[in-house]
Amino acid sequence: MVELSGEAVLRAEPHIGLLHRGTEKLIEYKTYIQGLPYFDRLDYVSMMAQEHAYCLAVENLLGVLPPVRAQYLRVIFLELTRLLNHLLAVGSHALDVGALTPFLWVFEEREKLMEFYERVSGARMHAAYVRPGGLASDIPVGLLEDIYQFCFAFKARLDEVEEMLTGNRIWKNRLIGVGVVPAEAAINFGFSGPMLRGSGIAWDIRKVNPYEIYDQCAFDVFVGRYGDCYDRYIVRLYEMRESLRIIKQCLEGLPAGHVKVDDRKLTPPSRAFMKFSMESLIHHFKLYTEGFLVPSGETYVSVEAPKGEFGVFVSADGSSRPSRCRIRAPGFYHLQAIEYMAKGHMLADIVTIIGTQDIVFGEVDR
Amino acid sequence: MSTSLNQLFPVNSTVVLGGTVISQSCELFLNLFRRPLSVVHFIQHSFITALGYFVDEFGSDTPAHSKRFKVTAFLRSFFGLTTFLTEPLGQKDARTETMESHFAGANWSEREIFDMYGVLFYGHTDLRRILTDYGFEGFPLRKDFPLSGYTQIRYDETNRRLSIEPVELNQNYRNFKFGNPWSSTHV
Repeated sequence: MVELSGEAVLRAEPHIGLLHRGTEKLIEYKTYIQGLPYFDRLDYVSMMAQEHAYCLAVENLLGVLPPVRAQYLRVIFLELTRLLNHLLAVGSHALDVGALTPFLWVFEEREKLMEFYERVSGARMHAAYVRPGGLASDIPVGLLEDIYQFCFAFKARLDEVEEMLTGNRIWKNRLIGVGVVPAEAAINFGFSGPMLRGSGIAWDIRKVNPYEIYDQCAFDVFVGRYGDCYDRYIVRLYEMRESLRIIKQCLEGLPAGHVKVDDRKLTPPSRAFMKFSMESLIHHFKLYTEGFLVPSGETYVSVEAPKGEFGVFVSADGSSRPSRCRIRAPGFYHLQAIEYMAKGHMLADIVTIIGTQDIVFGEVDR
Repeated sequence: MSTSLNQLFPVNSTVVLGGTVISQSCELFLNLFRRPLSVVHFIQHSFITALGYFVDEFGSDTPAHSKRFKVTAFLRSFFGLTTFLTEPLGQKDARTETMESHFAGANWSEREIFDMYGVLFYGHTDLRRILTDYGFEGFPLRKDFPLSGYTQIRYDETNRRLSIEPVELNQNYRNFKFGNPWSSTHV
């Protein structure tokens, strides 16, 4: 709800909850494996980043570490997810502000990225590919080659988007000086991700608290200077280029090996084994009915999801279901600052600000 | 930034800050029966925890305990020190002080905790429901709230309006409880 004086914004108050599905409650009633797909459906443009956070939390409680190959593949797909998210963020931001063309280009690229999703998991969006203890399955033959080809071609697509927007007079007029968030305010509101970096704070969980193999990857963290919408747009663009860098390093370093922990109490046996091995059949049955037991304890894991810090707090009571699963969605904290960012601007700038916040209501409302 | 703190506090150092403190690898857990704002203030401003950064605040519910609700605030400093402030609350006195005055980000978190658990926050400027429907009753994340809720909403063709009715399920939610004859099996 926006209160205006003429076209100037006096007050802006989001009424959220219209997409509230009670994810946190539902997860309490599901086994750890059944809870996983809910995470795809939170922020439905950065699916794997969220299931990954959940898997890290469960793995933390179980005290297992996925095999190295799984970690590499996870990072490849996490960065592909980051591309997927930032493409939508930049594309739809441009669309909201009035530039239709980048949106169309960007969606073609997203289609290719979703094909990669489909090839590993069978689903274009809600992949459920990252599982506690590794991945659902190994990658198909030829996928890495295609990802490499994609990365090679994608750089040119990014250049095209930049050519269209970065120096564009209208784009700059609409973005520069709009929605300025100084560093102190960004901290105060609990911003994270590109929203925080746009305000000049070099804070990236991949750097400060590296998970998976991010500590072995060389990449840079970009920060803005003025904390306005334009800075955040630039930060997102450069993050995409860094993602490409990370993906290339992972493609080069990807080792052979298993993609899930070799522990039948935690990961399902292969389908072929079930045909002749009684134990495999029992394990399969027990895993998909009862699920695995997680020793009691509490853990909070946060990852650098494309939108910011995505945190999962899991409290286990020793059974096969979590007793509490708190989801810390970055968008929730960004959206509540909308009044701060929009106050004094024009009504049309609210569109720019919503675009720059990269809001997806799936995660805001949970 | 994080490296400079690692020099100050090597990983696995123990940081003690009055009260009951358990610390491992630069993590600080404070279990408090009350949540003095002075502690929040200290975390926000002191040198050790310089630049306190609000991450999250959430509730949880364990009906078996006499103080069934727990409100946990999760703060972090840019030097890599994370702090959990946990405060247990009984059902009858489910109220605590707001952190909004220190971190503007706590506003919606506390609204959500109020919405989901019915915990009240002193001094909160705008304590309304946030995620549930307008006119919603009950506190959904409490353990005694049924998964399916109490009401269902549908569009009534004849009266041309939404009608809210008691929930009616063709099949009850099947809550399988697997008694496990073996001891804890994992790993």
